Amino acid sequence: MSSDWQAFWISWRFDPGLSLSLVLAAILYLRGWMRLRNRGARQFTPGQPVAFFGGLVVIALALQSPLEVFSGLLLQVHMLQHLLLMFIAPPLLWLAAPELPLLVGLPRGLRRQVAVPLLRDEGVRMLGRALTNPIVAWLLFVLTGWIWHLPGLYNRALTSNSWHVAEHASFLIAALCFWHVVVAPFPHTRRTSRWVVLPYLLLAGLQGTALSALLTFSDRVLYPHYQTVPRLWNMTALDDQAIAGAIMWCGGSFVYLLALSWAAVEIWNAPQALAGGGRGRATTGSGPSLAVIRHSETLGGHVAEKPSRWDLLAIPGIGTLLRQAATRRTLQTILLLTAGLIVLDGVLGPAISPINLAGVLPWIHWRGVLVLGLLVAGNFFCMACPFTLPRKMAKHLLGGNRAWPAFLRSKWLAAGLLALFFWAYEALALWDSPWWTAWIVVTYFAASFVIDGFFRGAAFCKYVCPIGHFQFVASLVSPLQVAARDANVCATCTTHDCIRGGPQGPGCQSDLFVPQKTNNLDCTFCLDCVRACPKDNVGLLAFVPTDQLAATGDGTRLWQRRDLAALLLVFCSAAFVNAAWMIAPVVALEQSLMQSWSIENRPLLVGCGILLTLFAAPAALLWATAALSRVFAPQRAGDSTLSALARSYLPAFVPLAFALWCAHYAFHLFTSAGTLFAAGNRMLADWHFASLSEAAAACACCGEAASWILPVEILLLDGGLCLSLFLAYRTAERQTDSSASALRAWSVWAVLLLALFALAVWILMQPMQMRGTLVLGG
Amino acid sequence: MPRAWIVLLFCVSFLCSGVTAFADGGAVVFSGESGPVRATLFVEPVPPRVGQFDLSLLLQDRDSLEPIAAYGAHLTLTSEAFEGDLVEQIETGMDRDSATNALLQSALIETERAGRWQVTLVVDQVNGGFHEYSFSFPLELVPRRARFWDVAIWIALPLIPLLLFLAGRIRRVARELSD
Ligand code: SF4
Ligand code: SF4
Repeated sequence: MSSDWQAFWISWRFDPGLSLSLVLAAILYLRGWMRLRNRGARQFTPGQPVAFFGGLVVIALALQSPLEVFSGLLLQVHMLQHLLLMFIAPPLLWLAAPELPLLVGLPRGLRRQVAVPLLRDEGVRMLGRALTNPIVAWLLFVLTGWIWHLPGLYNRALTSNSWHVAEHASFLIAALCFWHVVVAPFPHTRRTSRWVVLPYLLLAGLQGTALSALLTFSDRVLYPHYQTVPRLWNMTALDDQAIAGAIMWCGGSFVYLLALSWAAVEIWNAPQALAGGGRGRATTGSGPSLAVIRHSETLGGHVAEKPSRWDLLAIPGIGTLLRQAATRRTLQTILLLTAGLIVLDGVLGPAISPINLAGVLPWIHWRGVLVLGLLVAGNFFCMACPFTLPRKMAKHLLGGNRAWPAFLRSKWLAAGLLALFFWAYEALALWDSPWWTAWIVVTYFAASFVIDGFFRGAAFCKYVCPIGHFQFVASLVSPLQVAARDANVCATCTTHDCIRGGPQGPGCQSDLFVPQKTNNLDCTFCLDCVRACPKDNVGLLAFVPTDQLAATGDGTRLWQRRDLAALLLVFCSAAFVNAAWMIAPVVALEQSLMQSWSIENRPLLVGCGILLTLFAAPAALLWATAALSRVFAPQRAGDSTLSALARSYLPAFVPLAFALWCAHYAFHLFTSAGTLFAAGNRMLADWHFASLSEAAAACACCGEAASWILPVEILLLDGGLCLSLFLAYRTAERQTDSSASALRAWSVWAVLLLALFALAVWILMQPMQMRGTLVLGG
Repeated sequence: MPRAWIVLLFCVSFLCSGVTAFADGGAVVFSGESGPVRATLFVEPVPPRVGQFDLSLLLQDRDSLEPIAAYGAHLTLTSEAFEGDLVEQIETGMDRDSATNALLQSALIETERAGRWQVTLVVDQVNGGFHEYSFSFPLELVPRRARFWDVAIWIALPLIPLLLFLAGRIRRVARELSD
C-alpha cells in the first residue's frame, strides 16, 4: 500500500462529544428494546438493534473517519460522506423504530419529568407534525440538498469548521424527516396513502439526478476550493467533480430504487384499506409524539414502577455514610479547622490577599464550590457548617431554652443582614482584606454561639445567618430536597419524631415538619429528621429544579410573605449588583461619580448604591411590570394589589439570578483556583514547614481565562432563563382566567426576564477584575 | 416553558460543543515549488485571526505530486507591523502529531498582533536528504472578532425552545378562541 493510502486510513478525527452521544443512544436503545421485548411487544424484532447500530456506525464513519478528514481535499470523498448521512444512516435508524425504545430506555425520572412532558408539549407536537408532513419533509430534503450545493455556501462549509458542522447537521435532520415519511416507523401511523410514497420517492430521485448530472457533466469546476488544494493521486479537480457526481447519482438512485421496490411490495401485499391508510393501525390524528407516549405507556412505560423518587440516601455506601451523625461532625470539624487557619492567616499573615488563605479560600474556593454544590445537589454547606458545631456546648453553657422573640420571627433580619453583607463586601473590599475576613469569621462564630446558646433550636440558622439564607434561597433551585419518601406512611404516623425528636435522635431544630415540607427553605440538610424518623421514611429526594418554586395551592401563599419577598429580592438583585461591581464600566462609573461629586466617603457612596440597586430600583421595576401585565391581561379576582402581583412573580426570577451567581463564582473558581497553592505554600513557609516555591507563588497571578469558561457561563444563564420563563408562565396561568390572558401577562414578564438575561450576558462579557489574584504588569 | 426544554437545551448544546474545534485543513494560503518539492500551506480559521490559528503543510514531489512522508518543517512568522522598535517573531516546528490528516504536518500558532506577517517555511531532511528548501509568503491576520460572536450561538440557544414554546401556546390560544 502506498504511503498516501496508508496516511488516508490512519487519518481519523475523534470527536468525544459525538462519540459519547452515539454510545449513549446505543445504550438507551438497547435498554428500551430489551424492556419492550421482555414485555412481549412483538413489534420489536431482533433485526432492529442491528439496523439501529448500523445507522449509528454509519454516522460515526461519515463524521469521524478519513472521509471527514479528506473531504476538504477531494470532492468525491465529501460526496460519499453526504451520501452516508442522507441516504444510508437515516433509513437504517428509522427501520429500527427507535422512538419507543429510546423513550422506554431512559431512566424513569428523566422519562417522566422531561421526555414525556416534552413530547406532550404543544409546540413539539406541532413541530413533529410539520416535519413528518410529506410535502414539508420532501421540500426540506430537496431544498437542503440544493442550497448547500450552491458554490458560495459549499465553499464556506469547506473552509469553516462551524459551517461544515451546520451543513452536516442540516443534511442529517432533513434526511431523517424525509425517510420518516417513507419508513413510517412503529408506532406512527401513515398519514397519507402508501401510494403517495411512490411519487414522493420518484420526484426526489429525479431532482437528485438533475443535481448529480450538473456535477458530472459540468465542464468547469463548480467549487473553486478544490481547484486551490493540492491534487492527490494525480486526479484533476474536474475529474474529481465528475466522480463525485457519479457517486451521488449511483448511490442515491440505488437507495431510491430499493425504497420504491419496498413501497411497491407493501402496496402489493397490503389489503385495499391498508394501502390507503397505514399498516393496519388506526389513524390517530394526534401527532407523532403523542403516539409514542401512548405506546410507551401501554407497552410498559409504567409497568411495575415504584412510585418513589430517586433518593441519594438509598445509594449503598453514600447513603449509609451521609446518615451517620459522625459524618456531619467530621465534615464540620474539617471546616472548623479550615476556618481556624483562615483566621490565623488573616490576622497574622501578610495583608496581600492572593497569598493569604483568608484572601483566597473564602472568596474564591469556598464560594465557587458552594454554588456548584447547590447547582448539582443541594445545601450541603449548611450540613458541613462549622459555626453550628459548638451549638450543644453553647446551649449547655447559656441555657438555650428561651423562645426567639416573636417580632423577629421572619426573614426581615436575615434579608437586612444579607444586604449589609453585600455592602460590606464592596465598601470594605472584603476580598482584598484578609484581616477583615478573619474578623468576620470570628464574629460569625461568636454570634452563632451566643444566639444558639440563648435561644431554642437553630435560631441563628433560621432567623439570622445571611450565608445560610443565601443558601436557602439558592437551594430552591437545587435538585435535592429532604422529603418524606412515602406520604402514606406519614399519614399513619403518630409520633412525628422527625420534628419532635425521639429515641433515635433529636428532631428538626428548624421546626420543619417533613410531611409538610415543600421546599428547601430553612432546611440545613442536617439530616436529624432522617435519623429521628422511626420508619426510615425521610430521604434526600430528587426533584425537578422548578418544583419548589412552582408551588400550587397553599404553597403560593408562602411567596406572598413580604419578609420572604424581601429576601428573594435581595438574592436576585444582588446577583447582578455583585457581578456588575467588578466589571470595568461600573468601576469607572463609580470613580467618575466620586470625582465629579467630590465624594470622599466611599462606604457612603456604596451604601447609597446598594440601597438603590438592591431594593429601590428592582422593586420599582417589579411594580411597573406588574402594572403593565395587569393592563395587558386582567387578573383573577382577589389578587388586588400590584405589590401582591409582583410578589407572586418574584420566585420566577430566582433561577436566572442563581444562574448568574453560579456563573460569577464559578468564573473566579476556574480562573483562580491555583491561588490556594500560592497561599498554602506561603503559609507553610512562614511556619517553616516548607520552603517557598516559585511555582506555587506563580499561581497567585491571574492567568488568562480559558476559552471554554464564557460559553459555560452563558450556558448556565440559558438554563436559568428557561427555568425562569417557565416559572413565570406557571404564575401567569395561576393569575389569569384564560390561556390568552396568561400568554399576554407572561409576555410582559418574559420581556423583563429577557432584558435581565441580556444584562447578565453583557456583564459576563465585560473585562472583569481578577479579584483575589495578583495582576501582573500593573 | 416546560422544564423539559432545559434538558433539551443542554442536549443540543452538548452536541454543539464540537462546533468551534480547530481542525487542520481550512483554506490554502500558499502553494509554491522549491527544488524538487511542492509545498501547500492551509490555514484555519478562514480568514486567520488574532488569537489561535492553525497552519498545516502538505509537501509533495514536484513532478509526480506524490505526497512526501519524511521531512522536517519549521516556520518563522515575522510581524510587519512595527510597534516602536519591536518586531514580533514566532518560531515553531511543524509536526505530524498535531495534524489530524496524516498527510499533513501542522502547528498551532498564537499571537495578539493583527496585520501583515511574513511567513518563512524551511523544509529539510526530505526523504533523509541534506538540502533545505525555503518558502516565503505574506499572511494577513485580521483583528479578533468582537467577543460577542464567539458566544453568539450560546446566547441564541434559548431561542429554539422559546419559539417552539410560543408556537404551542399561540396555537392553544387560537384553538380556545375558535371553540
Ligand atoms: S417523616 Fe417519619 S416521623 Fe416524620 S411524620 Fe413521617 S413517618 Fe412520622
Ligand atoms: S432536620 Fe430539619 S433542617 Fe435538618 S434536614 Fe431535616 S428538615 Fe432539614
